[in-house]
Amino acid sequence: MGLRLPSKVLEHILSFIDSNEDRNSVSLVCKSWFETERKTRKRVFVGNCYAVSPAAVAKRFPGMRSLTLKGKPHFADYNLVPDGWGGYAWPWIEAMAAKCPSLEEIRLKRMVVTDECLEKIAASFKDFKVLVLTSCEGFSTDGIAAIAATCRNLRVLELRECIVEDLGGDWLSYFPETSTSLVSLDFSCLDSEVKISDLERLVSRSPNLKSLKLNPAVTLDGLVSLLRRAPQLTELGTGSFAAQLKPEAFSKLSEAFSNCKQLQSLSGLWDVLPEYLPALYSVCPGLTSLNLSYATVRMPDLVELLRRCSKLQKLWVMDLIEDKGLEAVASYCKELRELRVFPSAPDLDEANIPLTEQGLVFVSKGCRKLESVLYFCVQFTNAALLTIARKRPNLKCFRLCVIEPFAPDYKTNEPLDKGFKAIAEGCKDLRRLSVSGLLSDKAFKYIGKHAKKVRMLSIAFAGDSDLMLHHLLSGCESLKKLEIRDCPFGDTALLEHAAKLETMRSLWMSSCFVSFGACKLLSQKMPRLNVEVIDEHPPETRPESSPVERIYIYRTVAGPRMDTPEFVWTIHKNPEIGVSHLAIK
Amino acid sequence: MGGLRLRVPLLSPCLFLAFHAPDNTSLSSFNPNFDAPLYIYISLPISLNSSTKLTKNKNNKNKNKNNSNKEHKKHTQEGNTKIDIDQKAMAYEKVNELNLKDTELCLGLPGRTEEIKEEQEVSCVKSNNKRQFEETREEEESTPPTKTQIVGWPPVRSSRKNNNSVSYVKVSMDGAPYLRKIDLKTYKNYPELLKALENMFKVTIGEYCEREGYKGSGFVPTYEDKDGDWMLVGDVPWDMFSSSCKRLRIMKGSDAPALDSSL
Repeated sequence: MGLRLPSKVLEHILSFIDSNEDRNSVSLVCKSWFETERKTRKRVFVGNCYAVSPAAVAKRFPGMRSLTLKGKPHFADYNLVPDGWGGYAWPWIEAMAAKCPSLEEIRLKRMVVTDECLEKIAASFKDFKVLVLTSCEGFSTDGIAAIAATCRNLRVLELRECIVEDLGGDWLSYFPETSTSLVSLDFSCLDSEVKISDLERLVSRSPNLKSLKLNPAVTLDGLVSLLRRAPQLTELGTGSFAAQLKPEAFSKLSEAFSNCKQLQSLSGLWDVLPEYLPALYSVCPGLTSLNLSYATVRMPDLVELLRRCSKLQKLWVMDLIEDKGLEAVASYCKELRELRVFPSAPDLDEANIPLTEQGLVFVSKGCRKLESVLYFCVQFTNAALLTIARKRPNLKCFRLCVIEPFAPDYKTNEPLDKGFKAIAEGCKDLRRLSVSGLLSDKAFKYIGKHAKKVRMLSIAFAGDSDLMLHHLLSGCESLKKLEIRDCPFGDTALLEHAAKLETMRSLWMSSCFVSFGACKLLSQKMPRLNVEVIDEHPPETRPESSPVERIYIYRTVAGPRMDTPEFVWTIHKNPEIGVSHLAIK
Repeated sequence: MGGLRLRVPLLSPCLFLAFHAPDNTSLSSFNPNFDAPLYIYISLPISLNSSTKLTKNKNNKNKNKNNSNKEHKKHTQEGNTKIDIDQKAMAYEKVNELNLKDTELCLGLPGRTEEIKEEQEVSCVKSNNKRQFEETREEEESTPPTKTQIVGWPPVRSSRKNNNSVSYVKVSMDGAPYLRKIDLKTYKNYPELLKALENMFKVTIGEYCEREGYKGSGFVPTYEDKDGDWMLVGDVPWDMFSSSCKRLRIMKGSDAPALDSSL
């Protein structure tokens, strides 16, 4: 061997490398680089908690300070993954508690977290600082109380859209009087009322508090008193804004907001009455992020608010904003980078909201920095998509949900192939794409060919045949996550491109035509893929050619998982064994 | 390419279009035989399978209702599927190749034949739901099987769906020919709501009185609450009413049962 870099020198060099992708590359160079890298990695990210075993991760990165894990497939957000599917945090917490006592930060997404997990975290990591749970479930407010009570240096406690068993608001009083380290608190998803005096005291003794997101149970009066105690806030999630308007209350609210000179992000605003919006005018010029997606406010009031937000970069709003409102956004919010427009009445077929494709076209034309879009709309046109692609080639994330399945271009009756072709071709930096509307196999030919940087692709009610999947799996060089529902194909393309699946994190297919026979073949062919079938009935009781309800395929070095419920069947590599769900009974 | 050539009397363009699916390229292979000016020769186009797959659009109210262009599609539940792997191989067949099915002559438009149905299952719905996409539902009030019945669609988190944000409720009035819909959130109190109803149906409802309801007007506004019970409008505070009201019915005084009989 030639010259060798002393490990201290290498360590020093590596301390400048934060990106995990780069660190992964570093660890492949040679054994000593692997060793040095693993001992110095502080932030560990595991995109699929079943891709690798907790013990292996804990062993490899003993110096871990921050762990981020993701569990269930993304479509779990839309109730496509039955309860009990998996994604348990416990094995990870247990393994880290044993091997990585210096762990300070845990971020979990779509995982099942129990009170036991939370208690274990509180008990095991002496310097625990950050807990962020996104779309998690399985715990109660007792678990939160344990964290609050025990973690003396807790800085961040955020519960984002979790399903929590709410046993009351007492958990808040468990923060000891000595705790002064809080920087961010988000309990917006809890239902129960917390004692406002406890909250006031907590806020008063937390000089570093920058982000506070309240739950709807906090009243306007409560909000005012909290704002008075924390004028340094940069992020605020209000409580409910629905109280009856009294002139005195209004002026107090106005005043409280005008004292928050550093406020950059505003959210919450549940059921906000339009009469209250003027109280926010003073903070508008400084806002970079505004989440109005729970505010049932009509277009004129929205425009009155938004025209004051000249620095706005991120806007989440409901379709109540209408095309006209988006036209206003396009002219006033020139810094806009991210736009999300949610449907106000997703279950109502006859809701007549004047939001069409034109709204998005306005914003695409007017907001030069626009790079991320999520747009729900009843129907769309190719022409609009072409304009959007032409005007905004810098788009990184484009998620269009045409609410009507199979809806063609409503002006020409053609499929939306041409439109999505333009998006794929024109937006060369596109990382995430969701398609909808009437789409033929051709659309996917274009996407496969041109969407070279797309990492995540979501498809529903589209395509004609296996060609669709064939195009995607033979193209899309950067594809990591593919999720498909209700598309009429499966087997042929899947088997043909089995090798591609190992280059991806996961593939989800539901209500498609993937047969049990194909699943078996795939599993036997690809030893490092877990092929899981989610089906009410054991797949073996039906003919091999009959389609299975849902499949979830992911690459893993951990082998089949041991915690599958009754309705999840892991296809064995050994054809003789067939199918089982290896559940520990 | 191959194909069945039909000798067909030259009729209106509709017949011509009937055998033409949107991206069918067989039209370019159409070869008029000028020796027989009274007839045209039509090559039967792409297999009926793929042609019916192209336009899956169901019930799109904006779609041109030209029947000759519409196609039927029957969707059945998963339990019925008898998917044949061979038939899936057809997906790779070139558009103009025919299989035996195509040589069968049949009356009517492509896609109507019952034999086709087993080949085009697209299970759009969780098992147990049968769905039919048919072209004939025109009226607004009929309830076609739509997105409200599809699991997980549109892809919006439950926390957003439970939003009783835009609370449109149906309003019926005894004797009126059709129902109306109003958004309760646009009203802040009972007087506003009652005024709007009076304007909408051109009636006078009168004022609410705790003891006797709406006296003298002949019309009684009632509503169905979350529990399915029919209640008199006005008894509970406005907020409570607007969040629990599922639909409204303005009853004619003579039909409304006596309100104070139980008191």
